[in-house]
Amino acid sequence: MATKLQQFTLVFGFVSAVWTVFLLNLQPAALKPSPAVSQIIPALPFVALVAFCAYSLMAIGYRLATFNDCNEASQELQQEVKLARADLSAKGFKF
Amino acid sequence: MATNAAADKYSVLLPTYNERENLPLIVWLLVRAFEAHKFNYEIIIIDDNSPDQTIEVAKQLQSLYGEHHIVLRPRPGKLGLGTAYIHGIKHATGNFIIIMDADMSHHPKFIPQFIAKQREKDYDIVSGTRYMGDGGAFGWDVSRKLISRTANYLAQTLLRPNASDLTGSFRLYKKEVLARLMEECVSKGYVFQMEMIVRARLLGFTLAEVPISFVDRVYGESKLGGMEVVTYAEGLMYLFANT
Repeated sequence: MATKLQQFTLVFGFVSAVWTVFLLNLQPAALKPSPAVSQIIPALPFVALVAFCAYSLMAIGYRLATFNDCNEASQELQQEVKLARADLSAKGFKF
Repeated sequence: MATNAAADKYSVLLPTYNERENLPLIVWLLVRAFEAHKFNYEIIIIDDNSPDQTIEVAKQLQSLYGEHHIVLRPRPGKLGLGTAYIHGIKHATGNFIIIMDADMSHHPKFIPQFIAKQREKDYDIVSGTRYMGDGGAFGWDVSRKLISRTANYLAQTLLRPNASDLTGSFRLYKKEVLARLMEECVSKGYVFQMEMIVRARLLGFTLAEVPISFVDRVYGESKLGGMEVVTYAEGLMYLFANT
């Protein structure tokens, strides 16, 4: 099976090749984009990069903001530590 | 396919180094969790010759709970986590292995949930996750959260492992699955836990996740330094290029 790097290279290479074809206007005449679309083609890699970064920042920011602090779990554990110490001491365990 | 539940035995591997404060508490919680559900179990304590005499505490626990429940497999010095697992598997009599930290950051109350999840579809691995459902972590400041969230996002994006928590070390494995993975994995530390999941996916093992609350170090300190970030990034790149 291809490694993740090979998979990435394959997809990246394919998309880059398609972009280059449109950039140099080498595509079949039937696929000719409108003048408005032609204008943004050179900027597409930059747009993709910005979109990816924006998505990444939002994803990380959202998960950071919604991270569960588990305060109850900590309090519960402290109670259980007391129980454990008392029970172990009663059974003759020496800390 | 489905194993006979009554015949299942769970071997908990507890690698310890200077854990004399935590060891009695974690063992007490483990025993309580297993006894409450009448599971067949053993706790294998792998102490790396701790200067604080953790082994003396372990011996007391053994005489308290019995040699069939508390098994001591000390080693002469600090030899690392990976070899502790190999050492533990060799001595384990259970058909399932549970790995967890002995420092109380992993609560044994989740083990019955791991076991129930494993039995649902006879999963090869059940992994605790801090990043799903009710999972989370106590004792992390904003920068610690940011680092772990970013590290996790990068790993998810680059490796697409179909598991939400790659660096966790609270897991249940079928014994033969863990033994097989130990043969494959070469990394250390956080990256080692990540490689286990990635390799498990490549080998076609099935994996399920259970949300866990991670309570960072009741006693003692844990830190995440610049060196660990570099090691993590290197490990991520290694897995990206090689798996």
